[in-house]
Amino acid sequence: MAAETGTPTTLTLKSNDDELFSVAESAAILSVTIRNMVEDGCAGGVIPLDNVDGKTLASVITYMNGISAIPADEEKKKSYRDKFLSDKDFETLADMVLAANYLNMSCLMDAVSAKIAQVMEKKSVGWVRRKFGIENDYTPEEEAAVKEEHKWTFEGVETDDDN
Amino acid sequence: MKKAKREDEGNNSRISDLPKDILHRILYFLSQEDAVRTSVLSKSWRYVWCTRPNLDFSDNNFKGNKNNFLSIVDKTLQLYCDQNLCLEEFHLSISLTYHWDCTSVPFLDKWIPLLATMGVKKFRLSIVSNHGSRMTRNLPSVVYKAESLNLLRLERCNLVQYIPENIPFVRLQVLRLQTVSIEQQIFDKIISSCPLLTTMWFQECKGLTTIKLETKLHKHLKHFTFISNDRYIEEKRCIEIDIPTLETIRINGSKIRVNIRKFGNLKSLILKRVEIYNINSIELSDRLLIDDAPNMEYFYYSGLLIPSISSAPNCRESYLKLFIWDDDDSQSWFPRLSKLLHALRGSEISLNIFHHSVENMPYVQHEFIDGGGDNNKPVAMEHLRLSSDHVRSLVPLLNGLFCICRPRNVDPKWLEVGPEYKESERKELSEFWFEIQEMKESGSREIWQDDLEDLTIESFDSSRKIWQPFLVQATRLSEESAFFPDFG
Repeated sequence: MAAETGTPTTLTLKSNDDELFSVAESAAILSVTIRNMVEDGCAGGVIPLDNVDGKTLASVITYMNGISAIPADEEKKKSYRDKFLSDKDFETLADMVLAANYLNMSCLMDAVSAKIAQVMEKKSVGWVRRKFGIENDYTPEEEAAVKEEHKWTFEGVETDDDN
Repeated sequence: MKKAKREDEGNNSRISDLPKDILHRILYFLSQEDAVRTSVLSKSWRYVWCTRPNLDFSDNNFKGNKNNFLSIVDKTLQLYCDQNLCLEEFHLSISLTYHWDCTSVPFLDKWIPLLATMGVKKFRLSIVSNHGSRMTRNLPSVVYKAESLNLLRLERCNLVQYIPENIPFVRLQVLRLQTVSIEQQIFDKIISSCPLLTTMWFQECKGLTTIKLETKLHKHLKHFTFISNDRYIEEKRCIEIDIPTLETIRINGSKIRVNIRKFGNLKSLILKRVEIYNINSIELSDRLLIDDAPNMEYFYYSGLLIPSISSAPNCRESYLKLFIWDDDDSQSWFPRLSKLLHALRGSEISLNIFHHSVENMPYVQHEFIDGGGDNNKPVAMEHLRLSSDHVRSLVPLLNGLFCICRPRNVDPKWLEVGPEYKESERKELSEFWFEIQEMKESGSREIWQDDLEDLTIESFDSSRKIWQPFLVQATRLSEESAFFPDFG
């Protein structure tokens, strides 16, 4: 490991669409999945990441480099994460949360999940459906029954035509 | 990744395709209402919410009948329990009212032991008592049995009744007491039973006279806040802190004697109207011993005494609010202030001075000014704000201040703001201007004038948002005014 040799080690990561990326080991081990591979000695050659595409991996690596450059200061890390995610659309966020889950990066996972949750906060059902392209497969009777069951959750929600 | 599928279907329902674990993580950040409502989105969403590993109930958000709230919490908890679902976190925010006690307390009596049997790791509990402004109620005694408490916030509760021998708050990280009555003994017992506390917040706690915090008990403490704005409180309060892990300290109130040691991790220190004293004597002291504060970013101090800081902290921003009062040693006032500014010179300093007594005017000793040397060099700073009743006292005060500091902005406030004061304000400002002119012309022996190349007075036009040169007789002065000394 890098810590033992004293020189920074670089790892090569391969996305599922065969793009190669170099990243400092110290940043890459933010991913518990990668850290385990490094510790098991499987990181000698190219590390294949079968569940992450090149575009997403590039973004995750930007995050790894950015966050590992910040010293132990939770506030600064948080503001970096907020800034990093601020311009991402939902498609990108969905790719990121899947990648973070696969790579076992809890801090990124939480940040992206919270960001998606923020969009849903206090919003009507109709609004959330449209925002995320969720198709309503309930019959009107079924939907009314589910709503009735949880009637208390519909008070004080932003009104919407098809709420 | 289901990339191909996604392209066929457009972006439809991408979120619904996410694995359940991830959906749970997303729902984790939602209130119970928002999480439950997702069951109406589509069939695949119907039961996602009811297996998420956390519950978050607040009767603040609850719009319907409060009894209904209790029964929903109860039913949901029972559901998790009966189905043996994993519940890691439980967050409950509840208010107790007079009519409501008899219904809500039995529920707490039931839920708190239930949480323990379900293996809840994090229990966050807020109890606000709403018995009208003056009435408070005793804390339900079952709270003292909550082993998994992670956060406890109590407002308008009494903690004066019998408490058990052992308080099991071994996981408590955040303790916030606001407008509570508490016996000193009970307070000591509670905080000594919580070794993992990271945040303490005590606001308007009646009966609390002494807080003594030491490293051996609280190794993890990061944030400490004590606020007491009750001016009529008779007894003095003492706060002694000796914990190097602390990152923020905020103490606000009168008749509080403070002694803080060790600042290794301190980022923000806010002391408002407190009295600083030395641990080994009962004498009031002006010495605030900040020895080693390499991480300090913000320092705020307001008080009657000018604190003296033993070594220069590395902070970025300092805000000082000083009151000149009758007991002050007027001869040493400027030298003491100069010392303090020198100690803080690495930071962006804002200084706010209040002076409301003509008799007690601090004055500059010429030996002090003429002494020269690095220690007496004026300190560059950002803002200087002066609050004074009389123009007469403002000029000599400025004189003294310009000997020890070089502010980029000076903002004198000596009259109340308001349209009815416009006329007199203009008159006072003219007087002030003439006095300065007179001093300049008479060549009065004031050191700062040697450094001063030019002095202009500008007034701020709040409607057009611009500064304009102030013409003594002609201009109507708007609400704010300031002048910019230009030091050569």
